[in-house]
Amino acid sequence: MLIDNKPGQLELLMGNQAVVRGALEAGIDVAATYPGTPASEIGDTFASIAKKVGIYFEYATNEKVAFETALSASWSGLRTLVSMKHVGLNVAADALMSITYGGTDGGMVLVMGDDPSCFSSQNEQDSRNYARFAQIPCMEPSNPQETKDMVKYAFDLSEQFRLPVMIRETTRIAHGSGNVEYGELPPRNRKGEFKRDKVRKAVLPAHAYQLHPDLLKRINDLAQYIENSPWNRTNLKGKIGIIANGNSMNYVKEALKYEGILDQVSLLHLGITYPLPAKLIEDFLRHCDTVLVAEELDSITEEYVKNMAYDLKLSCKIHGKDLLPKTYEFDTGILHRAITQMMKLNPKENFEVDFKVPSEMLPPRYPVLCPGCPHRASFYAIKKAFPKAVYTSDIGCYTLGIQPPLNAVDTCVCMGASISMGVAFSKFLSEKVVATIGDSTFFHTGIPALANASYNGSKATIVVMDNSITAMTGQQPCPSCGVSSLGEPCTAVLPEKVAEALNIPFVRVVDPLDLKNTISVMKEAAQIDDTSLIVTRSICCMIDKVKRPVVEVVQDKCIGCQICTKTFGCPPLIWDAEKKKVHVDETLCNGCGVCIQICPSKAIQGKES
Amino acid sequence: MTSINEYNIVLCGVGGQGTILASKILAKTAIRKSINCRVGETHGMSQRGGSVVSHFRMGQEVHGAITPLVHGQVMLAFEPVESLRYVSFMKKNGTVVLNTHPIVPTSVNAGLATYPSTNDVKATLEKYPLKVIGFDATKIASELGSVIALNMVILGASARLEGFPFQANEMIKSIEELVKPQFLDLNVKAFNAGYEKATSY
Repeated sequence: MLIDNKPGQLELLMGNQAVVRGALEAGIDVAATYPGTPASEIGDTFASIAKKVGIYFEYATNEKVAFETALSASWSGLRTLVSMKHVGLNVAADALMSITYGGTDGGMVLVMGDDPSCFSSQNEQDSRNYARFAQIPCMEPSNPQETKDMVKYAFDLSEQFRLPVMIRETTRIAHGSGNVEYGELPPRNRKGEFKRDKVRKAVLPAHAYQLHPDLLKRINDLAQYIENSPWNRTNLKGKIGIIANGNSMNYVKEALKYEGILDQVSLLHLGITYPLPAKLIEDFLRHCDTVLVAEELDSITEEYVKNMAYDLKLSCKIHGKDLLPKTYEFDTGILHRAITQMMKLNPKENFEVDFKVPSEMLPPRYPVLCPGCPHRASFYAIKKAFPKAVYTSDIGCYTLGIQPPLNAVDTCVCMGASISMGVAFSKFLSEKVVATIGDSTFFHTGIPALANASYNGSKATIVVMDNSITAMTGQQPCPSCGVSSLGEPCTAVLPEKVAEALNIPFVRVVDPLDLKNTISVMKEAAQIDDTSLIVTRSICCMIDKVKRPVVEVVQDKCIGCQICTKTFGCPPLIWDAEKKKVHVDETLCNGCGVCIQICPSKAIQGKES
Repeated sequence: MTSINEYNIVLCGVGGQGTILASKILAKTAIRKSINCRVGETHGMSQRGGSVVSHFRMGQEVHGAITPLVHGQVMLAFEPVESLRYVSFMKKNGTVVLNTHPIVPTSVNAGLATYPSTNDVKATLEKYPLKVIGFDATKIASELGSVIALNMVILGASARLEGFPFQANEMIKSIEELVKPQFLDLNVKAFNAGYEKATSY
């Protein structure tokens, strides 16, 4: 159990669970988040234990709100952790950039889930840039044990220098599991207490002017302090050296091991990547004649090291992005290639694949909307009512409406952009514009854009696909679901009420599983020369507990028109090219019954059990 | 930590098939035996019916969560085409436990691609070359009560492989620790059925 107070106990933890264990060992009081892959399980884990251990946890409506919740905890003298995916900090950056001047009180840890290779993200931005930008320390664990220990350490570091401390996980760290040895859980008895300090806590121009030098002093003091930190460690061997951070060092060590040269190469493992340990790096550069800086994504450390070598007139040859890619995550083979190239070795170990699977044997398997997902019905109705519109969309499961056969998404930029851009397009283009957005994203950043539509005018149709959950990241509760962050019943906040309050002239709520009515209401909206908003409300099929009979295709009635597979595309509907008929994979069907409404020959029907 | 040679298992399939739980069961078993291990998982967007791959790695000098290319000893393939998608993680002459039951992607149903026959999938794996232990594990799980137990059938079969690092009873102990009590009976039965099935290879 994650909350066992059994020091020395060995447990299998995922990186994100290790974050929570570290926070518990630091005696955390308050945690907040907005879910986002790869950081989502941090919040989910807090939600599952918060009541038991007596900490305050919330799924905030967006990352900025989560950050400010954590900041308030810190300014109440409490220990707090806020977690988000990398792009979440773009939303929370406004608060971050301003509070570093005045600084924090209670320990505040900011856990970032970075996503090299864009497994679940719209970009690969490197959060270390934000650490440097905001002048806060950044720590990068390389395994679950380090993750737990670093988070615990980060609370002390935060309190000592009155700065939020960033823990930067990448997807492989966040979602990688391994052995973790537990430490002690401290007794919990902190009470919130606000210490009034207007200069530090009200960032008026005069105060900010006064405090900027103080921020620089604190980060410089911190840089001195971490010179001797156990998180940065050198292992001096030969004249060839490698400097690596976080997960990159795992690949370095494995590449050296496979090649059998682990005992020949000097290593500098950076656990703290902002600020960098100047003396440690200088000593390393003086020991080596050739150095490779191995860091995924941006060349932040490499630039620092090169600047230092220039300033100190060191002759050490420095490699980095000349041998390693600037995009995507690393792997052992990539590091092996760079190291053997730098050392001019004839490689003993092979990481190259000399076998190619013929492409016709690899049908693409894009992530798709689940069988029975109500979003598929909403998109189907949209395409019927607005066959020639421009479709702006947003971040969530419904982004998958981009896939064939739905093809109902033209743009997806960032949270909330479906409405703001849809509204704007409707004024620049002659076509109709349909914006699709989920309920959680609507509350995240959709509302300001809707107010703008009301104020500045628009002709767009906005479809709020309300499945009453934050689905894509693992079914976390949100304001529309009637359940609190900790799973207690509460009053649901309804998008249609928000729209009415914002004076949107046409507001309707429909059940997307009733296709006929949904299409008819959408066609009505299509006639309006003003903003319209339709809430298509049907609970996410992953949490819907109602069991419905699966469907079957009566083979005699199937005319092989493929309307169900080529325009609707629910995964259980399988086209048999030989028989020229469709059949149903019953193990996948969840019985939503929408395909029954689509079939022109009435061949699809509920199966009697 | 117990000293042991590196062992890499690649688990692949389609989101929702239970590769993550299977890899956790392997890791739990390793930890009980005080063996250093790592698990790398796929979460998030690709869970929604997309292609997924997890890694279980063990050994003293294992650091990263992902199997280096051409360094996997065993592949547990929950879906035929997915075995081909991740074959480059496998060492030559490694072993694949292959569920022969396909999940046809929507790209095929929409007429944009074709799905290869099971025989072609097997032949391609054998050409790599890999030893293939292929059977319809979905059917076995379904007959026992639920396709959800597919992952246990595959795990059971793996316990039968020559040189596999864990005994069946060690893995069953982990299943007991990780699976909810109401599903335990089904899961253990499925594990044993997979073990028996692989005996005939």
